[in-house]
Amino acid sequence: MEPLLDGADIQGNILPGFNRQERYLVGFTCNDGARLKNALALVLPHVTTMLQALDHRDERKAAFVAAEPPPLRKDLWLNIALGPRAVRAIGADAVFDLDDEEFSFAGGMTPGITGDASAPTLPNGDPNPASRRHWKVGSPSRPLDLLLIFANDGAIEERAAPLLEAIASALGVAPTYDEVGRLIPGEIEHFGFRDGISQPGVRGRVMHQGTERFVTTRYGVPSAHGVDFGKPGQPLVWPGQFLTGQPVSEGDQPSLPAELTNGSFGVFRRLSQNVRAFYEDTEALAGELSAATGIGLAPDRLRTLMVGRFPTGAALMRHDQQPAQDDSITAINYFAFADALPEITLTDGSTVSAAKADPDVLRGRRCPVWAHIRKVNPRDLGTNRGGPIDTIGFQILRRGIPFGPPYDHLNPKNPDNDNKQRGLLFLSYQRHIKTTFSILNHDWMNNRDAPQGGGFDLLVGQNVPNNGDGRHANKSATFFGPPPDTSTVGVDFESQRQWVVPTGGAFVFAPSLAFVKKFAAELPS
Amino acid sequence: MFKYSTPAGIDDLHERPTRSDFLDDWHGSVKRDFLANIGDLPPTHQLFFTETVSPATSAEIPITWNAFPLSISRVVPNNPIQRWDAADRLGERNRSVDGTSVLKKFRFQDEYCEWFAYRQTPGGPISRIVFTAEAPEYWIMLAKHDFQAVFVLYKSLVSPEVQEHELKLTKAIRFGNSVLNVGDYDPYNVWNTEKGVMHLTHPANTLGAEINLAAVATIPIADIDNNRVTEVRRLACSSVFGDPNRSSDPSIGHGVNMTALPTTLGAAAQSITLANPVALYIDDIANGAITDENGDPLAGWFTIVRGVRGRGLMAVLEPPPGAAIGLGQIRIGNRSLTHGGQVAERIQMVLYGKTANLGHPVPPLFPRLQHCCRPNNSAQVNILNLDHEELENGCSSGNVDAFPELRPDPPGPAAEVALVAEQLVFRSSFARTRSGL
Repeated sequence: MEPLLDGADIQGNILPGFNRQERYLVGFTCNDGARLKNALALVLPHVTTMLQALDHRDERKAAFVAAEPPPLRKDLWLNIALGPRAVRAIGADAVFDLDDEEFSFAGGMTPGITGDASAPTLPNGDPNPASRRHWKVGSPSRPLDLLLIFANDGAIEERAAPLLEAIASALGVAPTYDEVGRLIPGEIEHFGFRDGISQPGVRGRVMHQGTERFVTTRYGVPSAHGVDFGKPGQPLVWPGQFLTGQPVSEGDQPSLPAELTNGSFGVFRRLSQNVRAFYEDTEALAGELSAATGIGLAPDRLRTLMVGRFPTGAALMRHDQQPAQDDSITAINYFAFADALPEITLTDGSTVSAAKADPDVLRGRRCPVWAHIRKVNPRDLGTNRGGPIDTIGFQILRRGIPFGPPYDHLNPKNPDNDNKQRGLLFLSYQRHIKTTFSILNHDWMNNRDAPQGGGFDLLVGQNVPNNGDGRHANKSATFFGPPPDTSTVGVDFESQRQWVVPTGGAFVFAPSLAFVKKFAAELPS
Repeated sequence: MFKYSTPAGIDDLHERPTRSDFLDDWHGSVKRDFLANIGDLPPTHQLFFTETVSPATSAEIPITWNAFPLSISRVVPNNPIQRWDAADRLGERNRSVDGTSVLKKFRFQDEYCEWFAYRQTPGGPISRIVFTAEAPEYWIMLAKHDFQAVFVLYKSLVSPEVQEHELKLTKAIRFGNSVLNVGDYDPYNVWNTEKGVMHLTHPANTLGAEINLAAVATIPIADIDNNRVTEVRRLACSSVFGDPNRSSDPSIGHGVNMTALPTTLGAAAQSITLANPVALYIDDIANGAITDENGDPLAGWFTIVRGVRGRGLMAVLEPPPGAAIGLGQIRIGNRSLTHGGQVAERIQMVLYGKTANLGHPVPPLFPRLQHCCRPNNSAQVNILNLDHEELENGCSSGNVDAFPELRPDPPGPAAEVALVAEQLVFRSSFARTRSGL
C-alpha cells in the first residue's frame, strides 16, 4: 500500500516541483535564532505547498493536451531551505539526527564530499572561482543560512521585493546572494540541450481537490525486473528516498515527530557554464577524433555523444540520428543500455516504439560510457555499486533552472557572451546526500572508471586529482566508433578545460510546513 | 612468446638466484589455471581463452567495484560504526587435512580488498592503515621458491618484529586442492591476520576464484521462459561464478558476460580473457577523499606501495613525512577517521579484461545453474543478502525464490533432462575447481 502523503505539509518544489518560468534564489547569512524565527513567521503564509504546485501541474497537462502553450500565472511562489547554522540557531537540532552518516549537511559542501577544486588560485595567480573560498554563494565566510526560492512567470524580482524587504528587515541583514533563473525556450540549458527530462517517479497518494490520486501518474507500463513505472522509463521509487519520515519500501512504517516528517535535504549548486569553451573544445576534439578514427565526427555529434541525447532530448539509445519528430513524453525515456526494449501499448491505447540495445555495451558504441545520461543513470547495467535497483535508489529529484543570458551563437562576438555569467542553478532533493547525490556526483561523474570503465563525465564531471594541486586536471575518455564499427581498440582523448565550474552551493534542509509552523515566532497579527 | 607476469609485474626477487625459476613457475601456474577452467566449460561454450594459446587483440576493459563488503553493508546499512566494526572482525575456518581441527583466521572483507588498521597501542589511535589486493597463491609460491625473501618483505612491509618461525606452519593445512605442510609458509600467520596484513585471507579472495569467475561468466543463462538473464544480480544468482551478495563477483561476471555476448541480435560473440598480468587490483582512492578538518584534500597520505595506480597490490594510508597532524585528525567525507572501513568505502577495485575475435559462434543459452532465495517479506531485494542455492534444493522454510523467473524447472521431457544432465556434469567439474577456495 503506497502512503497517503500530506500535500499541505510538503513544499511544492520538492513534489511535484516548480514548473514556472522563473526562479529567484535569495540567500541570507544570519545565525541569530530569534531573527530567523521572525523570518520564518513572515515566510510561513507564503510557502507554496505540494497541493498548490499540483494545481499548476494539472493546468500544464491540460494545456499540453490541448496543444496550447504552458499557462502563465501571476501568483508568487516561495519555498525555503535552511543551512546547518540556522537549524542550530532556531533550536531544531533534531534535524542533525536525520543527516547522513558522513554528516554531509552538518559539515557542509566540502571538496571531500563533492570532489570540487580546493586551490584558492589559478596557475596565473588569479582567484580560482571554483574554490569555495571565492564562491558567489555558500563560501565559508558567508555561509548560506536561509535560502528562499521564489517562482513566478514574469517580473519575479519586482513581485518578490515586498516580502523580501520584510524578511531582510526581520533578519537585520541584506541578502548575501540573489540570482534569477529563467527557463530558456525549449527548456534547454546553456549548452543547448533539453534538460530535466528524466526524473524518477514517486510512489504515494495524495488528496487533491477532493480526490485521491497518485503522486506520479501510471501509464500502464509493464513492470520489469521487479521495477514498476510511471511513464515508460520512469521507475517508481518510495517517497522515503526523498522525504524524511516516509517509507522506503512496502511495509516500511517510519515514525518521526510531525515537524521532522516531510522534510528533505537539498543540494544547491551554482554551476557556471563556459559555453564558448565548450563549443571551441568540442569542435577541436571532433577534428582530432575524426583524424584518429577515420570516422567523420561532426562537432554537434560529439556534443550529442557527451550528453547521450540530441539537443531536443531524443536519446541515442532510441535514435541513431536526430528524429524528424520529437519523442513524446511517454517515449523520450523509454530505453535501456544492455537490453533492447520491446514496443509497448499504454493504458490509453497509444504505443511506444521499441528501443535498441548497445551491441557492445561495456565499450559503449551507441551511447558512450562517458555520456552524461549514462554516467548518472546507467539504468539496466551492473555498476561498481550494484545493479539496476541500486541505481534507482541513487536517483534524486532535480529542480534546476538556467541563470544568465543565453549565449548568442548568431553573433559570437556579442560582448555578453563573455562578460555575463551563465549556468545552471542546480537544486536537488533527496533524503540522504551521501547515498544519492554523492554517488552520482563524486563516485560516477568525477570517476573515469565508474559506474563502468571508459571515461569521465566530460560534460559535468570534475577531475581534481590527489596530487596536492587542488585544481581541475584534464578529463580522459575512450572513443569507440558507433555500429557497425566493431574495432575493440578505442581512441583515448581528453577535454582540457572545465566547461562547468561550481561557483557556489550548499547543503540545506528543506523543512515541512509543520516544521516552519513549529519554529516560527509568533508575530503580532 | 607470451608469458604471464606476476601481479602488477612486481619483481620481489630482483637480482636473486631464485627469480627465474619462480617466474617460470608463476607463469605455468596461471596458465594451468586458465586451461583447467577452459577445459571445464562445455564444448559449445568456449568463449574464455588464454593468451598462451591466442593473443588478445583489444584494449583493456576495466571492470570496477567498491572495496567495502556489500554483504556487510546490507546487514548493517544504517549504523556505520557497527558496519565498520563488523568488517574488522576475524573469522576462523577449519583447514584440516586429516580430520583434526586446524582453525585458521581470516578476514570477512570479501571484495578482494582487505585491510588492517595498525595502532600504536591496543585500542589507541590509528597510526597506519594498510590495504591489500594480493592473492595468497602468489605468496605461497614466492615462499616455496624463496622463503627468505618473504621473510624480508614481511619485516619491511608489516613489522620489523616479525620472526621467521611465525610465518611457518606448525600443522599441515588444506589450501585449495593442495596441502601446505609443516614448515611451509603459513598464509594465515599472525602477521597476516591478528597483527597485520600482507595479502588476502578470505576464503573466496583468491586468484583461482577470479579466473574461474571469468570463465564461467562467459556462459549465457536462460530463465524459466528461455529469455537470456542479463540483469546483474539475477545473472549471479542463476550462474555459479561467485557470491551474488558481493559487489565484486556479480559486477565482474556481468561485465564479462555482456562483453562476450552482446544482447543485440546478430552481433558476434567475442572471446574474452583476463588481461596480463592477471590479478585483482586496487584502482585508487576517490579524488579528494582524504581531507583535513576544514574539508580540504590532503595529498600524499594514501600511497600505493606495491604496484601502481590502477594496478595497486598494496596501499598505505599514513601521515607523510613532516605532517603536522595524525590520522586521528583527518576526515573521510565530513567524518573523523576511526576505522579502516571508512577508507575502504572510498577505494575502487578493478580488474581488466581483453577480447579477441576467435571465430566462435554465439553459444546457446544454458539452463540455470543455481537460484537464489530470500525471506518471504516485502523488503526490496537489493537490500537483502540472498541464499544461493543448488537447483535441486528449494528454498528453506520461510524463504521464497528471490527471482521467480529463475526458479528451478519442474521435471521435464527427455530432451530437457539431457540438457540438465549436461549441466550437472559441467557444474561438478567447476565445483572441483572451486572446492578448495
